[in-house]
Amino acid sequence: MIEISDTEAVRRCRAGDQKAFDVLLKRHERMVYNLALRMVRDTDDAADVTQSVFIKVYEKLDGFDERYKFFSWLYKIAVNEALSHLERRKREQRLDGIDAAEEEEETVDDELVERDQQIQDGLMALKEEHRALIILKHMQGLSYEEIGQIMDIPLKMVKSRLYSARQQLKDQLKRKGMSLA
Amino acid sequence: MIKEELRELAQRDLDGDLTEKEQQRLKTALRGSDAARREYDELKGLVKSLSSVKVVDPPPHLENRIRASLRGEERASNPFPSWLARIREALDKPRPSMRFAAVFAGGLVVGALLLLVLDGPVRSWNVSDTDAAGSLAVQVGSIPIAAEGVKGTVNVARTPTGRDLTVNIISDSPAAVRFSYNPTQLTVSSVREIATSGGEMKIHAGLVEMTHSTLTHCAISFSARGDADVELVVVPATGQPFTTTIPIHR
Repeated sequence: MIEISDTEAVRRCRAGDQKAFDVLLKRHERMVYNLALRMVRDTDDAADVTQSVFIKVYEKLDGFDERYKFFSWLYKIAVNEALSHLERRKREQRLDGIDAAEEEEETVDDELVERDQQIQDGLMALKEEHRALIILKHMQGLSYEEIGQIMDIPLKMVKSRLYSARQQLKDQLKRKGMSLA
Repeated sequence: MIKEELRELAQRDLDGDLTEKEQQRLKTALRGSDAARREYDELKGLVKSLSSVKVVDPPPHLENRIRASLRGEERASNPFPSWLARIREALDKPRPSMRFAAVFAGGLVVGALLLLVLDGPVRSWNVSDTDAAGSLAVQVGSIPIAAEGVKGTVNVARTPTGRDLTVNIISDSPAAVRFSYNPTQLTVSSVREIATSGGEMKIHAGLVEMTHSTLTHCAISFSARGDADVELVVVPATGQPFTTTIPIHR
């Protein structure tokens, strides 16, 4: 298929062109999966979240406002889906009497190199919203404005929360003995 | 410069958010404080480490799994074929000739649908040459599942020995999915969980049960000794259960 923009792919999907959704899926699957993986840590859970995100996108495509960027809208759905997944996981762990911290230790992914694992440990120790901010800013490279749109918070709050999240993450990693200099 | 102000400038500098004048102020302040310089370097190190974290490839099967789920979703949300949707669209248009043609075609469609409904509980009959499991099964029907907070489909494929049922369910809160059958008439030859969001699966003679899942995507192969039925019950967290009976023939 000829390279088409996200907006054009959305238009074609709305007109019933199934293949156009494949373009969106192929283009953004990796990004959504990595965002989910950093948010929930476990590879199987990240795959579940990615699947749910694309199903939600497909269902809500008619509601997408073309004045906004498709990827911002997609990120918004992905962040919300990851947060909901974490909430559900906490609820299930409470019901099963599993300590969340113990569970986290058990689900360390072998694919991550040691330094990445230390960073992932630090991320998991942050509040979920702070974790999302760090991931969007430093792993996905988004601007303050884009993060504000995705997280539905004003610019000033993006900055202040990001500063606080970074500070906490730095202190956390230092406590675990990671050298940052 | 007070510590908080210095910290804010340092943080903003990491994002390239400082004016030249502010950058100058930061440099001067950092020169005057070893502790501030150390903290700034650590933050820079953190940002560098974060941006160099490995990007992981999604599992190779994920794309196909998503496509399979989407096919299920489409059937659930739009049980009518696209040409029927076009007729419905035409009905909304003000042109009288189009309206007449659409009403006429719609009548034919309603008649055809009535015939299908009277013919049995499997509501649509599309023949394709493969099923979700990639076996020689032929897809013969698709039944939408709808209960409070639960959406999905069960796709029915004919196999040489019975039926493959592929179930896709997404629910707002944990729901139970049960397949009950007479074990003297039917046997389960395979059960595959393609995707779930946690929960557990129990298999007994006469009952396959999945509980506490908000996302269920599984495939079950039934072998039949003769004609028999499988009863599918989806029990949502709240509201009425959804029940349907699926005929299985050898």
